[in-house]
This record gives sequence, C-alpha cells and structure tokens, in this order.
Amino acid sequence: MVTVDSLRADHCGFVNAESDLTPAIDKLADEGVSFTQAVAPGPRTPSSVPVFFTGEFMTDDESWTMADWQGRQARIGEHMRRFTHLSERLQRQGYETAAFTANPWTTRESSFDLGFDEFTEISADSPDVSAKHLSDSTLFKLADTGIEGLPGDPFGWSSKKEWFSQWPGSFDLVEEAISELPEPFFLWVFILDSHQPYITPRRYREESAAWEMYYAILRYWQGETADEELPERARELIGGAYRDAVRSVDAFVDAIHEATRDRDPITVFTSDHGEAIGEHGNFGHEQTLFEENLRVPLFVHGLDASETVDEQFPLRGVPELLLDLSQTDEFDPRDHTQRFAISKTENNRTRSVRTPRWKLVSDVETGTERLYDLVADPDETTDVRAEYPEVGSLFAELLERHETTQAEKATIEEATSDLLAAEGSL
Amino acid sequence: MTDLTVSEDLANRIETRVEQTEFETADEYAEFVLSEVVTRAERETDRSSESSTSKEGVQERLESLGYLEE
Repeated sequence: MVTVDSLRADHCGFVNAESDLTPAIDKLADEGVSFTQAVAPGPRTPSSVPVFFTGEFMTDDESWTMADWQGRQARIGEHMRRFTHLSERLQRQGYETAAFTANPWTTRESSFDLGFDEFTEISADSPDVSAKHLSDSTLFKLADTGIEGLPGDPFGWSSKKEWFSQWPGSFDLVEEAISELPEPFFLWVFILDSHQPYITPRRYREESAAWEMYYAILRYWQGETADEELPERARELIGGAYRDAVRSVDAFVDAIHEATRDRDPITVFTSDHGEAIGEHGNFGHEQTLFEENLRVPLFVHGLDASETVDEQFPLRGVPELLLDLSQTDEFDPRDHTQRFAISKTENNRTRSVRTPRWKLVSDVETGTERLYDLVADPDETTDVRAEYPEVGSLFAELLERHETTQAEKATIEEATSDLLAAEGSL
Repeated sequence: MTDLTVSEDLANRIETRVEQTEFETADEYAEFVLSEVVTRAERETDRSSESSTSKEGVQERLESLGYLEE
C-alpha cells in the first residue's frame, strides 16, 4: 500500500482529465480498478490515517486540546492501541509486514508499529535511517553539516531539516525491503513529498526554479505566521511548487512499480487527504472539510480487472478493502463503496456527510450547518439548505446517528477500561 | 465467520442499545464490543519505554511541518 501525504485527487489525471501531472499514476489506475470518488475521513493526517488504519473514528474527548501536541499524539496512540490495525489483521493471516513512514504522526510513539515486523521511521531524529536517506538536496547537506555556524543562513534552514524528506533519499531502503520480504508480504510506504513545504528535487521540477520554490515556501510560512493574504505572484508560485511536488510523487510511483514488478503485487494507492492551493482562502491542509481537503486518489493495481468506479469510497473502508483483496479471487469494488461518507476535523468540532451530489457541513462551535450542491456548485460557495430542506434534514439525521454511535462506542471504551482495570490488565 | 451464542435476554438488551446507532445488527454490536475488549487485553500497556525518539525531536518535526500553529 502506497500512501502519499496531501495529494489532491484533482491533480491526478485519472480523476481529472485536465491534469497531466501524473502519467505513471494514471497508467496504473487505468490498468487497475480506480475510484474517482474516494473521500478521506479527515483533512489532516491525525484525522485521517488513524481512521483508515483501524476503520474507526477517534472518540471525542473534551479534556484534549489542539494546543497540546503531546496530548494529540497520545490520543492517536490510545486510538491505535484500542483497535486492531489493518497490519495486524494481515499479519495474523501469515503476511510478513513492513512499513516505511516519513510522517511524524505515524510513528512508534503513536503505536503505528503494531502489526509490523519491520518498522522504519524516515526522519531527521530517527534511529532507523541516516541523514543520507532524507534528501540528496545540496541545501539539506549544508543544513545537516552545520550551516548555523555560517553567516549565510538568514532563513534558518539549519532548523528546518525536517522539510527535506524526499523519496529518492530513502528509496534504496524500500527497494531492499521489496527484494527481501518473503511472500506473502504487506508493505506500507508513506511518503511526504507533496506535503508542504513543497521541496522537490530539480530533476522532477518543470515549473519552479530553485529560487521560486524556496521563495514560495518562505512566503507560505510568512503568510501562515502573519495570517495575511498572499500576493497573487506568491500564490502562483506555491501552486507551481505543489504541482512539481506532485510530479515527483508520480516519479516515485513509477519507480516503486518498477521495483515491485518481479514480485507481481497487488498495489493499493491513495493519499491521506487533499490540499488547498488558495481555495476558500486556504493553503495547505487547514481544519476544513471542503472538497480540496477531502477528495483523494485511490486505485488498486495488480488484479485481473480494470474498471473505473464512480461510486463513493470512504477511506475508512481501507482495512476491509485490504482484507478482501487478501482473501478473495473475486473482488467486487462495489462491495466497498458507500452511499454516505462521514468526515471530521481532528477536534471533532466540524463534521460532514457527503454523497457525490451533496455535502452537509456541521460546525458544532458556531452551531451552523451548510448544505452544498457539489454538482451545481463544485466550489462550495452557496448554502442551499433552504432550497433542499429534505436533503438537509436527512443528512443532519445521519450525522446525529453517527454521533450517537460514537457516544455508544465511548461508553463501551469506558466500560472496557473499567473491566480490564478490575481484571488487572491495565 | 463463526457463530457465538448469547442468552436471549442479553440479545434483547443489545438490540435496545443498537437502536438509533449505525450498528445495523446486534451481531455487529457484539463484534465491536468483543473486539475492543480482546484487542485491549492483548496489548502491552506500557510502550513508553520503547520510545526511540526524543520529545524535543518530535516537537521540532511537527513544528516544522506546520502542525503546531493552532
């Protein structure tokens, strides 16, 4: 399974025919079973990956706040220890399991290693890899060798080594794992290349010169810090830098396809969430549930089947999809599509229920609900709840049913904790 | 799938709790409850000693990726 951080669905040609950024991804999607309406359970890694690794949303917890990063990490860890991971389910079936993850939320600290025989964190402070596996960028090498001691580091690159996590740096480790894993194996690779800041190796850049790419990054951060509107030129450069990052992701997909060709695997490709490039006044992945945040690419390659599925696939169903792929010769993708998809922000304060036609977004803090007609108004600008009250009511009921279910699951969690504490297991 | 048997009284009580939720059947509810209990009972409870990365290192990573601006 390949997961790409922050890859928008509409930047992939198999979802949006106007995009020509992803020829390798499009070729594999066309050869396999592709889903044009895959929806993330949340707009950021913490609200998405824990859900599609376990099939369960996280429990609401009033004591937890977004300001407490350790609390956020601990909450993910609790969730991951509470439920069975897809990797554990495959491991129990006899699969050898291995993971490479560059994302700081999916680490041993947050218990993502459960169910993996081999778990490799790709980061500057990871004991699993050396600096050479992070990037082959010249600037990174300078940063890694102590640029802070030089007079020419006005932007503080030396403290931003985390920005340099590009797939070519660690690909030799992935190739080695691919060649050595005994069959059957489950390999998960989670790359960060299309996550902001968009730093892309020169050989994959078609739109941005190096100075434009780094300027875009700095303007992005300046805009974030000052909460100010970016000038048009900076917005264009950020869009170009993101598109170049997507091109690099496409090169990764081509490379890993070549590396795995001899093993003849089934490959599941997706992203954890989308990315805003100026839509709704946002850049990156804010805590919002617009289409640019939730729509993700998804395809399955390596089956004796080729088709395009336009029904909706909530990523929450990834564990069942993988289990199905591991167990059956007669795969029917529509066993995994759902009429309604629920998504939530990390703090559970904003929730949405979606079909390919409609989306209702409910904001708990402001007490507001907005209904969008995604076909007539793909940019989600106009609330049509007054025009379609029955749709709004039905979707509001679905959200209420979901929250009732979550409350029941929280009660079960509490009762289980009491039970296990009484048994001396906790 | 394998069948497990519960008393009629328990089955009726589960049916009551399933109402108004996304659980479609009592079986689904029972599977969820048992899975949670068994999974958590199986877990090692203290994994903190296995932590291999420093708190400062993790904070720096999250900060540099823009996750700590809230």
